Amino acid sequence: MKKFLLKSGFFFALTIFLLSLFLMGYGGNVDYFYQKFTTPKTHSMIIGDSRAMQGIQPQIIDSVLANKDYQLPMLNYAFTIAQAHIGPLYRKSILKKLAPDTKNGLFIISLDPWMLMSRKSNDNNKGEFMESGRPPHNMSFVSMNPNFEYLIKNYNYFHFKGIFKKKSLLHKNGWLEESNLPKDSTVFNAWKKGQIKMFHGFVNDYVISELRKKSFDTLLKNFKNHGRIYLVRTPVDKEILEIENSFYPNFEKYLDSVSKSNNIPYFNFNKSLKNYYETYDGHHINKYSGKEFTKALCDSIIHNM
Amino acid sequence: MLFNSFEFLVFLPTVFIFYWFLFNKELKLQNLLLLFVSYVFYGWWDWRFLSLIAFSSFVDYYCGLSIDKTNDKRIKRRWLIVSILVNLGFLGVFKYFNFFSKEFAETAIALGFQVDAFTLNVVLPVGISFYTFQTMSYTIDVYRGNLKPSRNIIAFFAFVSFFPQLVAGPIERATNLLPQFYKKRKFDYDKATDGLRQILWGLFKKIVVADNCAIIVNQVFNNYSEYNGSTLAIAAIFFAFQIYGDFSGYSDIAIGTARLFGFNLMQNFAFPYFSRDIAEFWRRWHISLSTWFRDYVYIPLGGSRGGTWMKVKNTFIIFIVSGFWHGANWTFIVWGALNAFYFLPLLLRNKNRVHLDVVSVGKFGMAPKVVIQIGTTFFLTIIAWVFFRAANVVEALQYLHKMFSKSLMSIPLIDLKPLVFILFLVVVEWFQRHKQHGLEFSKMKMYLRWSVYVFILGLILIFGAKSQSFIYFQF
Repeated sequence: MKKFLLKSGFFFALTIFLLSLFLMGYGGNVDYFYQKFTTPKTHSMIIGDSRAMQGIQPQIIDSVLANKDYQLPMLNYAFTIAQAHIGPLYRKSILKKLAPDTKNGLFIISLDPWMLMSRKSNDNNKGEFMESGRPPHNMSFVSMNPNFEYLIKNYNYFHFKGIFKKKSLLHKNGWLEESNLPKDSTVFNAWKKGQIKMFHGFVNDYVISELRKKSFDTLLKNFKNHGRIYLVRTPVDKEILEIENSFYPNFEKYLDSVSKSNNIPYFNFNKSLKNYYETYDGHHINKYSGKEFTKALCDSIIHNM
Repeated sequence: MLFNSFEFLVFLPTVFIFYWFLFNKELKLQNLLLLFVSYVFYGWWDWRFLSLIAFSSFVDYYCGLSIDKTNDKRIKRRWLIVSILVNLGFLGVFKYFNFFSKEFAETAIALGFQVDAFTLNVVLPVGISFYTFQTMSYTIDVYRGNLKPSRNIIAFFAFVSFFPQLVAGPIERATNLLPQFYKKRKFDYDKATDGLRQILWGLFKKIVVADNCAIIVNQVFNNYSEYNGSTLAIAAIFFAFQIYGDFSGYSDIAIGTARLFGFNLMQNFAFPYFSRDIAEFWRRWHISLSTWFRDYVYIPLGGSRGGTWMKVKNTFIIFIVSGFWHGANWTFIVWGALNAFYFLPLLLRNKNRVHLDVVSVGKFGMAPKVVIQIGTTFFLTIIAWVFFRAANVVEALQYLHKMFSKSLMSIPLIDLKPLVFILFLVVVEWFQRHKQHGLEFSKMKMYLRWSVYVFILGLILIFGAKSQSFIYFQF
């Protein structure tokens, strides 16, 4: 028995060691979120859904705003539309990831109507949230490397085959670099059609949640104690914008009022229906345009400091 | 609780530690722990059905004792009938009632009567076909005098609910497994390490081979009218390996797990796709069920003793019943009947026991004749598997019709990557075909063995498909 325990224990330790090496080396290639939970707590962060996760590049902010008085580096703590709904769950995770001693942080919140929606069948007041059970909401430890809690709870999110293709990479700063771009306009149109179909589906099954709006207000108050906040509406293609405007026609008014009442600058990059930043599916700005967009965002921040 | 889940990854070592360190002082403690954890294992899926196992165990325990208590053959027989009725009754209610009710209603309507099918809104308890057959083997063996009835209720209940093989077999014979619950288990290093290897191989077969094939198989079988013949043919081959990887993988994990606790379960699969004829295939596929039907149905019916007609009739009965055991659907019945048809020429020519040895023993490759034999057998099984997998018999026929159309020669329209895993599986099992499982090593240096383990683990991690339930859970 002793020999069995020693050998199997040693083999188990070896396996964990190899797995740790693998995750530390390729964690960004094999999962879209894993590395967000392996970095230390941060002083500055980007909040939002997948359009922010892919469209706002922290390394550009770090370099453009390096001489400003913010506690950088920046962390992109945005997730996808299945997870990044404003609410008590996301707020809890954000506060876990935020270094408590932050005094002069930079907080960029990319908000769109979908982040304030709730399933019609969910009663938010009773604690029913569609995003519960998913990362980051199911994570107790958000700054641990390697993060085995993530591996155990979210094993199904991993796509280990990704180490061969390396088409998408989640950088240590939380930015998801997507290199799987459409080869031609046919592929682009097909992907865009898929996105449009998805958003049309949302319009029928979801409603704007008052509780999420209240929670957003609380989040802003939390951030105010730690630094400066900037509200952003990240650009998308006209067709998607029209759907979200029809879903929440007063969204602009809402953001303007939030901006005024909290004294937070708001940058709307969707003022014109023409999107100057190229997307790869109508919804997500591609990595090249993302660079330009992030620079433009930095310029706006500088002008409003 | 699934074997391929994180819950089981925590459950297994925890039970192992408790079993060998805290409960190993005496036999009763070992059995008590196994009984408790087996009920936890089963209750994880649905605790309400624990009462079913407990009731079935109690009835068979009591019937066993009652059979032994009397010398009156009629009374013995009565207790046996009680046991069989209770077990088959459970199966009838949970598994077959709705099927018979619907068939009855449809037949009545066809004859001009106005009848509404009365169906029960019940969930099929996981593993019911397995543990009811296991307990029936107990009372039948006690009745036949092959086994003394158990007077140890804890051991008996633990035998019925033994968690490694509770939900998908192997369907153990009481004569093999029950006596193992009467002796205190001692830790055996070689048995335990080989058990771990068998678990690893089972996980590979399930997570890498079966679950990757399942993605393609589900896609193609659910939309078969949209695919060409070659795609349908490949999906059928993938299904053959999906069901093999799924079920034999489960059996490997079950047998390996049992070995960790000092138990020996019977081999359930002996590399069936290397069979040279259908008779050999059925000696190597789901052995615990085939032998169950042989011992408790075929032989009592007269077996092959009563002339040609009797042989043919009994063969059809056991194959059809075996098909029906899998599920209340005509597809399974046709699958069973088709296998009986395959078996018939061998039976009539007395050639059904020609290939009793391992194929090409001691040889690296195989002779052309053997290649043809194995290929033909595999082809026949694939045709039968189409019925097994299809939603109904009509769809199976349409599937086969389209598969054998001109488009059989066109380019397949699906991802062929699972072929790589299938090829790896076939090569490993070919070289290990004289052993109990794919990773049974006799003598190999430690660093080589560990490299193999790490390699297989890496394959599971990198190429493992999203976790899917085991096919045989639904039976």
